[in-house]
Amino acid sequence: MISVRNILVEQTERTRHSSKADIHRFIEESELKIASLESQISPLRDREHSCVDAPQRITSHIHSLVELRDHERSCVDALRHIISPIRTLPVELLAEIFRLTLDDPKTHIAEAYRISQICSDWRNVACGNPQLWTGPICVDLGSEKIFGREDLYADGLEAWLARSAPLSVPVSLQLELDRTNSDPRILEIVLRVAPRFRSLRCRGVPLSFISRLAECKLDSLEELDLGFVESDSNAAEFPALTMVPRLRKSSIIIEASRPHALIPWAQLTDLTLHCDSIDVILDILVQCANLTSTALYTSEWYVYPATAQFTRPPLPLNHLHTLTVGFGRSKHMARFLGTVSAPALEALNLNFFGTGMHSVAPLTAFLMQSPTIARLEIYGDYAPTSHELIEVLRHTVHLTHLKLTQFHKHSFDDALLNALSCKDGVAPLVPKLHSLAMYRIMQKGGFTMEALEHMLVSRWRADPETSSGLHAVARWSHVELCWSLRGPFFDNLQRQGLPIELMY
Amino acid sequence: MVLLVTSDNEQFQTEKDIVERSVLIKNMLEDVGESDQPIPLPNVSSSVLKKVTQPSTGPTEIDVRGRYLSTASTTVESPSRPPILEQSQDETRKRTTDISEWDQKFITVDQEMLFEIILAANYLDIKSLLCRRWLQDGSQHDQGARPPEEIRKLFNIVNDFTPEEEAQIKKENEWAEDR
Repeated sequence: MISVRNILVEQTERTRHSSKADIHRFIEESELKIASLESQISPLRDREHSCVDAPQRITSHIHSLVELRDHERSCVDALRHIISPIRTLPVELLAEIFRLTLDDPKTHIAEAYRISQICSDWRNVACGNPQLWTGPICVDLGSEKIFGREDLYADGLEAWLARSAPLSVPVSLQLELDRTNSDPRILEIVLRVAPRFRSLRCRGVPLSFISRLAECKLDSLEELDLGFVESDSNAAEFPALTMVPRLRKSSIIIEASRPHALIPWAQLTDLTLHCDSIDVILDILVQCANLTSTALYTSEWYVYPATAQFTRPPLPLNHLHTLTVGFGRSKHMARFLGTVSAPALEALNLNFFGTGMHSVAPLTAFLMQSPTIARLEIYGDYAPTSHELIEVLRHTVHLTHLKLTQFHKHSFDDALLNALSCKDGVAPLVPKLHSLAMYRIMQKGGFTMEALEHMLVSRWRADPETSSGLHAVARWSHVELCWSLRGPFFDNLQRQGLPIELMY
Repeated sequence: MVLLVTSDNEQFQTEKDIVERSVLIKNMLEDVGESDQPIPLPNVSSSVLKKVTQPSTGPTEIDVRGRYLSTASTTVESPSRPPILEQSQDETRKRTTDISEWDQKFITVDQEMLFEIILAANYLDIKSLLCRRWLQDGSQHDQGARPPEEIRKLFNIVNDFTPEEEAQIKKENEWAEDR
């Protein structure tokens, strides 16, 4: 049996002081030898096949010649390997290219293994670089990957996680209550690397697991997405995650009537919170003094009744620059906007998916306290009427980006388009607006194409220096229209030079 | 314009916005300020610098990912800008979606130049030219993976694992495989 590794070592030693030209000469010599051996083997094989009882001597002679030939072939391979251009790459650069190869979270595991099975040099480079093994790991205890081969999976996972030490890793956990009990080893392996979690995304985890997690030192954890936490009988009332010094971003679903995980809210800068109670949301926000971005939702189905009579003190979120709200009850929206202020807000996303607002007065009052909003997104069937929107937009004079999605005829009509249009001597709404996106806007019975075209073209043609008297009007930098507006209308706008495109 | 001097003493007058894609040169220019003094690049030969900074025109020019375009790749438009200007990965993806076929021999024919360019890209600090995708299948699918055997063949790499080691390596991969 030929040992490729030994031959490689031999040839490396042999060529230690040789030039590239020398090595090319060695290859040529070996190839001549191989050709010579082939020419000897071929007639011997003919003789072997033509004799019914081939003499043992011929067979063993062929065997020894074939061994010599294969050895020589291996020498040629080794010599080619020695002078191959890829060997000019320094190890650090090879490792960097490997790292770039592993940037796809869907394929990074297969890619890492592929790289490490090319040759022992590459394997040493790969295994010697923990960073190559720090891609996101998803452990789904309900998956087919695990079922029936738990030990194999556990061994593989353990070995994989060990290679990334001491670096932090993003981990995603999908648990099922019954599997959590039946298959503890995998969970133990995951929990052992808890101090190295960079991010943790949980789905279907029971509260007892959060309690165990709370006992770990989660020193590297920066992002925590708990999803919906299932109650189980072993659970402590409110497990508190206290040993998370780096945690800044979190997402959690809370049911007001059930125990939930406690997070050090004060250190968060980014929070996504789904909760059936607006009071719980406000209670949590009171503790979130450092938030810069938050998304808050209540359900459109069952919601915990708000304590409407309870008057809260004003809640200023002074660092907040991005706010997304989607509330299932109009009272929640009014309650929230009437309590919270965000003086540094730059981006506001309003979802009216399940309910609208009885009055936009709380919204306009909120906007008056947030004078620097530049980006506004409004989504939903229950968006305010066009006249209300005009009123709202009057309070966003610094708006540069506007995105409207899923609007019906009561919200998007010619009145709104007219207010947005540029007319001589009159400042249009939101004069700094230069980016507009419109998706799934219902045309029937609402706006006319003429009004839309006039609005778009008037702001495109406006002279920023002289038009509109009081305010300079920005020209469009980007306009996205819904696919249904394709055709001559769109083509005409394009011909006029508008930076416009269609989106599905 | 910036004057660059290569390791073989050739001088190149190159537009500033092109050479500034190299973090190394950009930092040098910032340190030196406005100056007519040439910038020496002792680790880059003239042939490599040409490939990196000049617009692709011929059939053997290197593309944005370090691949060589085939003369037969009629559906591939030659990049209109030099590869040094190609920074965005998204842009690269867009560009490659239209490509029907790459020259299978691009690496075997011009490997020496390919790796010289990679070394130069590393020296000049141009991340976009560290062409990781030569580990991926260049023939049909952008995201396809070259089998290990093909990678070995392309780069003359000897598989020096023993059969036992190979079996062990194969086994360590199994936990993550779909069934």
